[in-house]
Amino acid sequence: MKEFKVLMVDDEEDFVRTLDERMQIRNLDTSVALSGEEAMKKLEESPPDVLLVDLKMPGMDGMEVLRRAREAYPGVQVVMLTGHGSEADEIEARRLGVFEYLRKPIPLDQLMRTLRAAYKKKLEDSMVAASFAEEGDFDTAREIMKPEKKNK
Amino acid sequence: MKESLFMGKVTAAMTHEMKNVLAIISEAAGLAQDLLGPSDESVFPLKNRFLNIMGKIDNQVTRGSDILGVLNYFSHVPDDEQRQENLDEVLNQTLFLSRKISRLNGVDLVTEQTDSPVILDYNPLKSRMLLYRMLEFLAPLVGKGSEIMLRAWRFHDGSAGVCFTVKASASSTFSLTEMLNGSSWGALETEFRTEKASIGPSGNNSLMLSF
Repeated sequence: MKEFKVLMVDDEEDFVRTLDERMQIRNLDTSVALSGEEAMKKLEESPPDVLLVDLKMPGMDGMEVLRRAREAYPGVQVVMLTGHGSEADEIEARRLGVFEYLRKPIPLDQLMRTLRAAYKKKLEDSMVAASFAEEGDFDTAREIMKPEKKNK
Repeated sequence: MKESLFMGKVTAAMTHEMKNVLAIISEAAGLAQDLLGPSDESVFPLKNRFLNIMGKIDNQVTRGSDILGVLNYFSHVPDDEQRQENLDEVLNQTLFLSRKISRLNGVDLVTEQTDSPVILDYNPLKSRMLLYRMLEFLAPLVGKGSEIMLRAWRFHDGSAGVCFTVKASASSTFSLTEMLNGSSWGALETEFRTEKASIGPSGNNSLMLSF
């Protein structure tokens, strides 16, 4: 039984394939997208628990993937991992509801801790939203799942 | 100014690319460690040597990443013609960038942090350039085994400066002021004046740079 599902999005294929293999060794259910566009397709087919996305990519960049993912799949937590980030990028990513903003290169232990924390947040949000929905308070349930409520 | 902005922009982009390179090296070494992990030495006799090599790769990735972090920050320094900065932070970054001066001359470069921040309102590229020039000038002069300590300084009029104090190595005694007489100190003073800064002796073994 795999721990949880992660979709990794990065145009650096050598990086993301190697990371994919290491995550699988650590019992995560992982998949890879090499562009923002491919990530959106994979999200539609089967949303992961956590989306790990690079910032600078040709075509749809990581910020746009974050924005669209948080709008269409608010239950999916997004972690940004970038070698290109500026402070302004980090502020914008947090405004859009990123769970965590990390910089490459990063020790795998630290990345794993962040991914697990993101998954835990997803579970907590879902449980709280579900409890409101059970009471018939669908507005609050929807409000909890909105990205703005998850800014750090 | 346009030239330094261009240089900074290109350097910043390259540091980002290098971070990706380091990330790939780090993950590849990590994967090799993962794959070696479960095997024992009867299956793979060189396991420990390989793990040792992977550890060295890890250390160098961390080192490279730290260097790139400072270089990336430095590449953005020309973005502002003037700004207020905590002088302690400027000193720490400049010393990081001056490691080669330290290594080549066998001189320790250290900072002494101030109790309360000294704010420098100056051209950030020029402040670093002047500090670097001072170290470049002083390090070969004071000789191997010595220490140059930098401390941010606030003058009574509120302006900022840096005090450079030289501690001679145990085997040598010297007077900094005497040493300056036989050097190109005069030319350096003129160079600093053109940047609206000044330098001068402050006691036997100290120099003061005023911005």
